[in-house]
Amino acid sequence: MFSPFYLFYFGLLIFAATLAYIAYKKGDKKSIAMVVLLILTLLFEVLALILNGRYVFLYDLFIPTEYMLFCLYYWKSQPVIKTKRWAMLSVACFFVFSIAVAFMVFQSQALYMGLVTWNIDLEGFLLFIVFTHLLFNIDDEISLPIYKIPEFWVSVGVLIFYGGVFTILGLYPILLHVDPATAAKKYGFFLNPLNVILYVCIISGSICFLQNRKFLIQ
Amino acid sequence: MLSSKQEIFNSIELISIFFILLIAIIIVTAVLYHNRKKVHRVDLANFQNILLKTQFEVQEQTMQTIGADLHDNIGQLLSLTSLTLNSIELANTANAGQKIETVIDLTVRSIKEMRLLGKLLQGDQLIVSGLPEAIRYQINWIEKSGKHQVEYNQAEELPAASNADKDLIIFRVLQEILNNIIKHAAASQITIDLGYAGGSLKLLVTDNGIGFDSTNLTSQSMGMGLENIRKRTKIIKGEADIQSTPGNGTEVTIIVPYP
Repeated sequence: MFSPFYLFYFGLLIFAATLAYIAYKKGDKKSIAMVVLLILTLLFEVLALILNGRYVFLYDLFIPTEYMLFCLYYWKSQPVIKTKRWAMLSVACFFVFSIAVAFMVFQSQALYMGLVTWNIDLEGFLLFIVFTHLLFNIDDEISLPIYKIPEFWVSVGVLIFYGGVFTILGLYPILLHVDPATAAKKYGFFLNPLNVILYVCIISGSICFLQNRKFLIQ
Repeated sequence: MLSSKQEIFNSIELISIFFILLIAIIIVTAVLYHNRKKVHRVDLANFQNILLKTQFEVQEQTMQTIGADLHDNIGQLLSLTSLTLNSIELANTANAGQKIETVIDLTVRSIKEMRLLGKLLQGDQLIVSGLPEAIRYQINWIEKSGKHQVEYNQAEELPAASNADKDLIIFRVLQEILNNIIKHAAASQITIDLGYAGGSLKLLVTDNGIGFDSTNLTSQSMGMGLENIRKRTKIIKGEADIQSTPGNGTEVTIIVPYP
């Protein structure tokens, strides 16, 4: 039913969710956002595969949830209240935008492909700002190199994924008209490895937390 | 048609790779930024450490000066007062009157010395009144021993201090230099020049003592004192130059960005 890549991909998601849950149980409270996000991602991906491209507008409901959970992670990592408030305000605005888009998509099937990808692009743009800010404002008071801090890896993963898919997602509706087969091939060419990089980075973040915890306890 | 389609897809690939490279640059910049932040934090911690040590040393120096002055000066005055009072013969009124006058004079001098000591007890508050004032105070105490004559020259216009911590460190460096002169130089004449030019404060201390080979230090304590001078000056982004030859005195130049 599922191709070897998808089996590997889902395995990666399950492993990342498990590690994030262990990190949460060991004291990393912000990991709960990752746990929920990864489980929801797994469910949506499986649903999308089963539905085989139909009801794609459901992504308009998943995307704001994904954005909210990433912002929750940022909110719990960031000490400055002002930036936290801006992040949560952007979640509310993005939710309204996405629900509106989902309604429009439901109304007009002709628009749906374009608006789904532009929704992800807008999410990517907002996450780019949020996680660049987090990357430069990581709380590194403890004497650890930056690459041993969990927030570093999550930020790197998010930036690489959304930076890499920005162009292909933004132009995807046009590419579908130009050459659907090549468009789908290129889409997979970019999205699959970038997805793997994103979840490997999230796994690295959880491993860093568990290793640091051992170091701090000793 | 086919080549234009290919061109479109190639362009998209190139743009995506460009975005990924851009993100790689952002990540590298963030890593470098955090490394610099850590180095700065270590430098700041070192500075705070040295500042605390400096404050403690200034207080210790003040206590030593007070202790020496109480023993050598005020103690002597009060002992003399007590001896004079004990030697008064009430039957001999003329002599008693003279001795009482002497006792009053000794008591007034003791009170004056005690007041000066009281001001010195406010040790690090000298810096609050300014570096030149603190230097003048230090010079007064050196000259009181009578062993050293100190000439002090100050630039007409010195900028107002905006950093009391820096002033404290400069003052401590000067104390270290003067301690070295008193302990090792056997000098009778000390000259202190405090100048300001081009955004830098210049402190020049020269003496007519026995000098030493500045390239080959024989006394370990003198070596550590000079090393302290260099270290303290470096922490406030300054430079210390020590020039000396046996028999020709010593010249210490401290240049520090100021204020």
